[in-house]
Amino acid sequence: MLIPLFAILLINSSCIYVPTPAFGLISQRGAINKKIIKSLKQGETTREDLLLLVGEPDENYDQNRYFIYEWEASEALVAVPGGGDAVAKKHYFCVEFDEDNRIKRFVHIKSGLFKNTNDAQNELYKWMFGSNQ
Amino acid sequence: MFYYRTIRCLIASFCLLYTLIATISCAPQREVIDEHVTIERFKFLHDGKTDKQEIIDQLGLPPSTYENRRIFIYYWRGEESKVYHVVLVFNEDNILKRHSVVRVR
Repeated sequence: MLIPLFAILLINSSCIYVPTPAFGLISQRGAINKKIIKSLKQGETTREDLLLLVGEPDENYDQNRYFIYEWEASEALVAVPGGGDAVAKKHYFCVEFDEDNRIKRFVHIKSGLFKNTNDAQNELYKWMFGSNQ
Repeated sequence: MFYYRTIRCLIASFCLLYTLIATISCAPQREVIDEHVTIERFKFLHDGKTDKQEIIDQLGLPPSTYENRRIFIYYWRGEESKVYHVVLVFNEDNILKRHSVVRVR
């Protein structure tokens, strides 16, 4: 039952989307991996610790209250009739610090098949400031 | 029959491609470089010993600072266009407390 359904989908759709592990950095700096993110502790990890661990952020706001790290990696392949290409996902890793320079909270937002870069950016601003900028 | 074979072949090809990519590749990551294989230029840095003025004399003023100049960051472009951030943290006496060399690209 599933195979004919998949076959119909393949034949009728103009492209095929194959999610893959991250395999190439397209722009910006190196990715911040899950292991690093897991090692961060709210109320404990300091700005100093984070800088020593991942280097300087790509952007900062509100006198270093927020650090934003950005990167773009290809994480899927799209096959279309006559060719194909890699699909890029934009990643934002944002950290907010408290008055004692310790991590207050952090978030990892990425664009995807159903979320374009603008949506991801808006989600980030909403997380930071409570509304879209 | 031919129809099913084509579909099976397509699915198998995708699975093979996926496995191949999962096995042999990954996106470049940020990583802290081992101190012992650190770039020659930064080998004079010793935690608890080197002072801020000595670092400024050797490397010049840092392009980026944090927390009231308690943290210095220098950028370094190495071989094969690899880019590093050299992060230096000082104590109250302006002596190097901790440092790291992070490969960012």
